[in-house]
Amino acid sequence: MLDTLTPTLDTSLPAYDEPAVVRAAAAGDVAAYEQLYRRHAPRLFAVVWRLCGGQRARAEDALQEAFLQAWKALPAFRMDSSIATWLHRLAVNAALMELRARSNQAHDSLDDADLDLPQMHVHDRCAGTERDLERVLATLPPRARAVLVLHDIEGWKHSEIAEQLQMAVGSSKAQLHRARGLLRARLGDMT
Amino acid sequence: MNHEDPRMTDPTDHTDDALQQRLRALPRELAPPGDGWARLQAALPPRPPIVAAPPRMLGHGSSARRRLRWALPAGAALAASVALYWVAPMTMQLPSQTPAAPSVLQQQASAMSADYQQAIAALPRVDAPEWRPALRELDDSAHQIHAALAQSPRSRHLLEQLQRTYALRLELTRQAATSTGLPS
Repeated sequence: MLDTLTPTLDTSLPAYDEPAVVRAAAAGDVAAYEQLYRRHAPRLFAVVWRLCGGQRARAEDALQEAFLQAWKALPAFRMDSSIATWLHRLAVNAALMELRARSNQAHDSLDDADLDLPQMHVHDRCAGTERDLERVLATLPPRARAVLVLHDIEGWKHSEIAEQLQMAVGSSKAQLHRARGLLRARLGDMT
Repeated sequence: MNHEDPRMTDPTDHTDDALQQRLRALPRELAPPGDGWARLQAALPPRPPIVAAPPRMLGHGSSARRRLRWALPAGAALAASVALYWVAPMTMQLPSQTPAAPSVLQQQASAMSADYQQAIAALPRVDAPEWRPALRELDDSAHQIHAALAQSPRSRHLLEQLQRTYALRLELTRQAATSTGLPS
């Protein structure tokens, strides 16, 4: 699974006029929508994959759901906004919905649900590598992981995270502190 | 007395930066599933083209203008249907809840409604019969979203849908005003 986490920037993609593509897709042009998908899916898949704890099937479902929602909502998309930011928000929301749906089967919230993530022991091999970091990231409790992914990797502000996760800003900061602590401990304090 | 080095009181401080650097250095893209587009395309609901541009370039009395005057309300009706298509299933699935006080999202919805009312009041009143069904349908959508929010006061999705519906209503009102020769 982790082997697939490689940069996928396709420099062979032809230059294209994104506003025109967005307008065409909003008007129902499936070919234009495919261009949007191919342009933005790799970036969105990385974030939903991390939010879903590295579980590929869930991440794929979240990605598909995000693009389905985007297709339905494109006619109302405001062209003065960034389509990348808009899609990113939809993808994050879809991933969080996916997590909530699964966690609700056994838990009432995302707080401490470790879901069905496998326990990973990474202290004694390949420590300090990017792959280890991804593996340990996937073992964090979903809410703490979401805050860490959105803040430390995606660059969101606490206020934005709090709004998206429907929590107080202070809770977002506390979850980040907790996530970093868990991450350090599980990495064997090798940072 | 405590003579500890201040840095030792919280040994995590100096490791946070290093950890964040490692996190920021993680790949920003990941190859999506190979059949992702094919699966998505198969699941896309049909959506006939929606005419969105107002007929600014056409002269009075031209046949093209007459065609567009009909095409715009048709597109508007379709857009309104899309909004209803989103809201109707949601209202059926929402669990019944009776919150004691308005949630933050409900307060945001109220503020958004107030802003919308101000914006719509600033636009010319549109009485063209061909636009009425679409505009009425969007108004109905907004009412349904408010009702759904009352049932599910923490649903950010509903708030976003309300925002989109208001945006679409404003845009269509502008288009209607333009197509009927009124200033927008």
